[in-house]
Amino acid sequence: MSDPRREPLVRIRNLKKNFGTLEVLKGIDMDVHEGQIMALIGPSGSGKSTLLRTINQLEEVTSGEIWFDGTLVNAPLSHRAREKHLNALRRNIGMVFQHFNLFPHMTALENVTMAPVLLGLQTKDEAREKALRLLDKVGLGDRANYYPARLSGGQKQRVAIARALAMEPKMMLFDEVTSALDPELVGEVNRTMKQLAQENMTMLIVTHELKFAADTASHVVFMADGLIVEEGPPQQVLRDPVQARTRAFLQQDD
Amino acid sequence: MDFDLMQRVWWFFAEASVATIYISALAIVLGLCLGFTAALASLSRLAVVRWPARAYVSVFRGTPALIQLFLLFFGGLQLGLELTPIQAGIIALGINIGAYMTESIRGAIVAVERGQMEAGRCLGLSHAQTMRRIILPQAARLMVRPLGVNSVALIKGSAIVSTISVTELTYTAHRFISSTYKPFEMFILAAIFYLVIITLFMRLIGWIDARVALED
Repeated sequence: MSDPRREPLVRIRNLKKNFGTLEVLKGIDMDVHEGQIMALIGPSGSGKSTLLRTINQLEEVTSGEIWFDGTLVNAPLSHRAREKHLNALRRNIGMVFQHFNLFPHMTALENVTMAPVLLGLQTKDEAREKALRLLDKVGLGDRANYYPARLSGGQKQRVAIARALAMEPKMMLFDEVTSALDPELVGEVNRTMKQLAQENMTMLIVTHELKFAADTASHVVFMADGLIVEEGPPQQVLRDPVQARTRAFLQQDD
Repeated sequence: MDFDLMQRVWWFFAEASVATIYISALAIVLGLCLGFTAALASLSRLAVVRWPARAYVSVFRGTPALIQLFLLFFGGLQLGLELTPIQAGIIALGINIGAYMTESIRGAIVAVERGQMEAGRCLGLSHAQTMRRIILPQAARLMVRPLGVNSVALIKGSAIVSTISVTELTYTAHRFISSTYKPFEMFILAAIFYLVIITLFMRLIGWIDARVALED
């Protein structure tokens, strides 16, 4: 579990993000500690996906600070320096998307091995061996040579998780990864994530599944209208919330 | 219709077809090179790179190919640029079709799902690496058909080089008309050869398209 004496892996201070005149994040302060499984919940449009995407800078922020592992993520740099800085940063932050975003022209195995080999982190043989191990771990050892088009949504999402893990990230971001799945395929993806949680991976999970958050997360953050309304252990936030806004959200969901 | 005459001269049209194919093939290669360069430039983050590419497309799509050909061949001569008719034909057609191909290639690149670029970048790949390994291989599949359409337009449009006396299909038809006074037969012959060339070319495009199609 997280050690409060250590620096948090992610530290976010007074983060603001506007899309044009629309304020999506209105001043977020948040820490993610190593080994923490943090679930971000809240109504659509509350800014939780945007917050997740600012951590690896898929979204640039308007103001505030994001620190990852002791470096300022959104440091003011020239374009070239910033690109280099982000490439290095992103190798340490795995991301899984709602719509999988697998590379359709590559097999499952190639999806997993491509980046580590291209970036010179692993030799072809190492990457292959590691990828097969990862695919095995997510239950797809026998699908290594399948193209994404021949995999189910749940299988695609598990390949996407293996692809992110192949980079040996320090942290994983999950952006509503089961929202696009048929209900009967949600379980297999959730199981893979739980397994990862048991291995002490630091995880930040944007989800609509409150039951999954209750079972898996070590910490739950409830967001509404671009602000963090309430956070704490799942049993407190989900079962006994302090804020009226949280209670209203949870009741709606029942 | 004078079939007897057509039988006697068809071989000259077959030979002229080779010239049409040769000019078109080289113009297509030139157009593809220009098209790729301008398409990538038009997607650049930098306005100084983007702007010339956009200007190229606007100018060469916005003016008649015939005027472009005359400018290069006759205008070039006036300015001391001595090109043979066939050289001028290939260059003018290539530059012209390149402008259309730029748009086909650019369209295919931007049609690749936005999530693909994000997925590549999230793995720590640079923009260029993601372009090369993720976006372009997928865009290539999407651009085969539109580039095929551009190329067909070019093959038909190559008839304009007959105006600067390149001995291709249309010029050959004109030449035989002046000696036989049978425009109907001669133009029918030329049309048949164009149709054969284009039908074969469409087959080739279909074959390439099937080869690069995603397995699913």
